[in-house]
Amino acid sequence: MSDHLTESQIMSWLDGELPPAEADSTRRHLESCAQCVAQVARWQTLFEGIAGVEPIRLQHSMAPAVLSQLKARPRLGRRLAWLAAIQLALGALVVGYLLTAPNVLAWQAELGDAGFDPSDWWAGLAAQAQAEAIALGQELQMLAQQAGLAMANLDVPSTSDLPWLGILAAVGLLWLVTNGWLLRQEQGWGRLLTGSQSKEARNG
Amino acid sequence: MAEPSDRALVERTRRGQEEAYGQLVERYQTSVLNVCYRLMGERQAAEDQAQEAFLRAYRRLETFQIERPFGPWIRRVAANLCLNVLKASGPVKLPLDEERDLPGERTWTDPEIRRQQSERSQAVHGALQTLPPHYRAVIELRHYQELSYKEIGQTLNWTLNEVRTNLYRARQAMAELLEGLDV
Repeated sequence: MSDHLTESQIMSWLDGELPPAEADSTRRHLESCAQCVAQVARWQTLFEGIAGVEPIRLQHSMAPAVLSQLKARPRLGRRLAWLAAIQLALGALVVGYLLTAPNVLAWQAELGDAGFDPSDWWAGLAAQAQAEAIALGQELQMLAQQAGLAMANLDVPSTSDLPWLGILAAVGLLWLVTNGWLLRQEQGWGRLLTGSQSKEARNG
Repeated sequence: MAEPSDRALVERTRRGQEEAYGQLVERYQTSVLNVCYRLMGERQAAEDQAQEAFLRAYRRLETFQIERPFGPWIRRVAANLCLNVLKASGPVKLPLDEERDLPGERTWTDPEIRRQQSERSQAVHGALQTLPPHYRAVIELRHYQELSYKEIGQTLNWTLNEVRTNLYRARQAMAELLEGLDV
C-alpha cells in the first residue's frame, strides 16, 4: 500500500465493498494516519448529509387512484391473450370466406364480364412484388452458397405459393401492428424502442 | 389483529384480491414517493411516477420472488422507472426555490436546529437535482436503497468498475456542490 489511501479506496471501505484482506489493511492504516482519517471523516459527513434529506409525505392514500387505474388498465398478458384469440378467429374467418364464399367468386366473375378482373390486377401487382423478393432471395442465397451457410439449401418459393404467403403476411402484419399499438399504450414509444422494458422486468 | 405480512398481501393480490394490493400501496407509498422525488426533483412528477411505479409493479407481480422483501423491490421498480423517464426527457430541469417542497414531518423541536437541518436537507436535495440522471441514480441506489455495488450493477446494467467510477464521480460532484455549506 502507498503512503495514503486513495479516495476510491476510502469510499469502498466506507461502503463495505473492499475484500477482507484489503479492508483489514485499510483499517490498520487508519489507526496510524491522521490525514486519511480526516479524509474518511470528510466523506462520512457527506454521506450523513445525503442520508439526512428529509422525506416528503403524502397527506392522502395513493391506493384508490392506483386501484381505479388497475381496473381501467387490465394486465398486459390478459389483454394480449384476448387479442391473440380475436386475431386468430378473425384470420380464420377471413381465410375461410375468401376460399369458399360463392358471392365473392360471383362478384369477381361479374367484374370480369364488365372487362375488369381485380384478381388479375392484384395478382400482377403481387407477382411483381414477389419477383423482386425472389430475386433478392436468390441474391442472398448465392451469397450464402459462397459463404457455405445452411440457408443455401433452402428452396426459394414459387409463384403458386403467393396467395398463402399473402394471407400469412397480412395476418402477421395485423398481429404486429395491433400488438405494437397495445405495447405503446402500455409503455410509450421510448421504452418500446429502447427495449428497456425487458431490462426493467429482469431487474424487478 | 396483527397487520398482514407483505408476503400474505402479495399472495392475495396474485389470487386477484386487488384490495390487498391497496394495502401494499399504502404501506410503501411514502418510501416510493421519496425515491421518485429524489430522482425527479419535483413533487408532482414524483407523485405521478410513484403511482405509475405501483401500476407497473402490479403488472409484474408474477416476476417478484415471494421469498424476498417487497419494499426494496418496489423501490427499485420506481427508481428504474424514474431513470428511464429522465433519460427520455433530456436535460434536467431544476425547480425554482419557491417551488421546492417543504419537508414533511420533523422530529426536532428546537427551532434553530430544525431550521439548520431543513437548510442542509434542501441544499443536499438541490445538489442532487443538479447531477446528471445516472449520477443521481447511483446515489439513490447506494445511499437511500443501500444496495451493494453488485446489486447496483445489476439494476443499472453496469460493470462493477462502472459502479465504482460513477459512484466516486457522483460523490465528488456532490462534495463540490456542497462545499462550504457544512454538509
